[in-house]
Amino acid sequence: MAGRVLVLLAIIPLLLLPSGCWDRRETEDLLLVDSIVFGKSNTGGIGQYRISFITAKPSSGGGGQMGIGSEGGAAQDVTQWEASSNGFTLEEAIIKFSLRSPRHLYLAHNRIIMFEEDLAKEGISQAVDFLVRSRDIRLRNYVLVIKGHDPDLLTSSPEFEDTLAGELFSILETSIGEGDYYYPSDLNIIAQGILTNGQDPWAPFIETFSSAQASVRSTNQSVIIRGMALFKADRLVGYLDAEETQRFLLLKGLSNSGIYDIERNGRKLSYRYEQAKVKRRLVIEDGRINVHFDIKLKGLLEEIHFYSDLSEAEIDSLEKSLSAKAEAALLETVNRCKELGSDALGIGRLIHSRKLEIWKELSKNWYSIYPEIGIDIDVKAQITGTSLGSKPIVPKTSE
Amino acid sequence: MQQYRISAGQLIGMMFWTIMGTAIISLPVLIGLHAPRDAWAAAVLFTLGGIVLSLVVGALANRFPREDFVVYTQKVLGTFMGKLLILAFLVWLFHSMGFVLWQVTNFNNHSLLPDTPIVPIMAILLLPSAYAVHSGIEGIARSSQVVFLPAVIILFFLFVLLIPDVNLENLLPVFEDGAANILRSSITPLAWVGEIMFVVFLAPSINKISKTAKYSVITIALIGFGGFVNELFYTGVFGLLRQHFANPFYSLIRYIKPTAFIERYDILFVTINLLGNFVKLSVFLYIFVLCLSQWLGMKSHRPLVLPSSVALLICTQYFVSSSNELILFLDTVFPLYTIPILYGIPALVLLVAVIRGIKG
Repeated sequence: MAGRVLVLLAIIPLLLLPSGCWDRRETEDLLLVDSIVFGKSNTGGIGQYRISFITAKPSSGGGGQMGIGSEGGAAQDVTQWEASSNGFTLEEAIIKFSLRSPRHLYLAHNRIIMFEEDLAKEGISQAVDFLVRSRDIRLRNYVLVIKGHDPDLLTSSPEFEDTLAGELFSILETSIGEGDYYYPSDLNIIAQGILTNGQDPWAPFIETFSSAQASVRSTNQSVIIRGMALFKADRLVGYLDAEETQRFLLLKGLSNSGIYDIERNGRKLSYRYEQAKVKRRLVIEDGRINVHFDIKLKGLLEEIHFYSDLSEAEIDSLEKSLSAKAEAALLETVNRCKELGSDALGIGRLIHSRKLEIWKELSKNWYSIYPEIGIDIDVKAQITGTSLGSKPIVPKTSE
Repeated sequence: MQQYRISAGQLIGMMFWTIMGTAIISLPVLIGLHAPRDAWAAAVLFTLGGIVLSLVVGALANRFPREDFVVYTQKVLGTFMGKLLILAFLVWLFHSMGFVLWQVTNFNNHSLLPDTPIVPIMAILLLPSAYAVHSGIEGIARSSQVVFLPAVIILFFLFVLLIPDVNLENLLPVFEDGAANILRSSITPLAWVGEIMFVVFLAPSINKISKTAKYSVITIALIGFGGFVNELFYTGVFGLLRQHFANPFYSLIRYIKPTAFIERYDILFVTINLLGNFVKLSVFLYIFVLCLSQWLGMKSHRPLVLPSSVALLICTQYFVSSSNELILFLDTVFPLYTIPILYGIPALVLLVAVIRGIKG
């Protein structure tokens, strides 16, 4: 009996201790950060970082105690709060912020990480390293680049969600398969791109757009994902617009839907592919290495503004035109990547994984060799049918 | 009172988590240091080493059925030499037990309880194991059996959720790291799976002692398969980034895409980790006090449980000072003395017993 009592006495403190007295934190004491923005200080300090946190607005007014100014907070009419802090190191910036904040900074629920253009052009490796080693930050955090220098972007109102981060997160989550004009890139993809030879990082970029197009609810400018930002190692080198991004994603095998338009006798025709198969292979001719993309697209004619009986010969002719159009467009995107000097398509990594001996030679001077690598694209667009249920409405001939 | 007999399932459950408990915390880091792309190959190599040792352990169990290893080592090698080798093993065991306790504590401290001092965490982790050891082998065996299957099912479930994120291109080109690096990366895991030799201490309690080798080989095969899958996933999901994590498995679990019904899977890993390491600490502590009591000629291991636990709690504070230091030590020094002790002692006892024709 005495033994059992002793065991019971030993179990009771065990039950109490695991709740973590030292680490106890009440939810209302936490500053739940939704999004972190890394930029360069705008206070004139050389080599300084600025970290901004977009948080869900604290319900009990804790955030209201923060100062206003270059390192201040900016309350918004919705439920989000943006506050910044500067420091020579990222750690210093965070500590300075923590000292001002009446709540514990809680990053485990963070979903979006943004890099401002100025910092991204100088290199993001230090920030990425800091984030990867941070205890709270998850590698699943989506990464975005803020194009241009727009100090008001962070205080922009979300159009449809409560917070900017929430809106961007939802857009990125639902973007896959809807035209594939962008594709989320997370901290893992970015960090791997920085580390891996022959594979540069890429991330969607955002900018503000005019309020004329924004929803009624939005009182000022809104934010939109415009395309893809490309990096060379850890430095931002340029952007791809939405169309280029779609082709870039197709070349990477990340896109399954997209649209190509062609003209027939001055009338437009729209083709939407909903299946894409991409095979990449290396061809060595006369000691010169070429990368070959074999792309098969399957899709429907979505929009036709002329009457056609869509005979087999007509379909065949349309497929050829579409394939040629797609090849030219994709090659244009490849050349754009080469022009920017970014191997975000992973051409070097493809050579590395397939032909190690050749890569050992090429890797010594990859960035100067990369623009000279021959890239061939062979597209076979297949029209599987038409989504038109009836004959298109073609206007009668008017003299 | 009749002595409790361990079943096959219990032995496999015990030894699986005895080896895997901390292996899933530290080994990926050590393997990734030398062969990040070909890490899976290290799993194949250490499995082969473990199987060889399992056969040695099985042969000893068959040769000396129902006899304690401490006793027959002295019979085979002579009292002085036998006691000396067992003492060396005891020192190794106590020191390694400190590493185990420190690694589990550090994981909990770093990942979950950053503001909590490590001593209370260590004490909380050690107390259930000490209680189980005090109760005897039956308590450890039964709790291992209970822990084993749910933990393995949860692991399987977590890996299934990660499949969409695996990029097999990350594994290419195969054998890029080179034979030397792959061999180098498998040295510490080889030392780690040497813990299968603990079966020689448990063998007298196994119900079908003639099948000791079979059970040990099954355990090693499961561990090898687990290690192979783990390494494939680390490299497949993270590529070269895997080298930059303090705890790749935890990072892997945190990377699982949130689903509509579960947003965070971290707790599942923490649960597995705590349960698995409860088994690991229990087996280590049990072998230590059992071996020490036999070495000292005591009738029961029980009086040694509390003093050993307290001594371990105190000494662990001095064994390791930082995670980086431990990783460096495990990578460079640990295999140098662990392989001779864990592989060498049973092999030597078997060899001399065969030469001298000694049987139990």
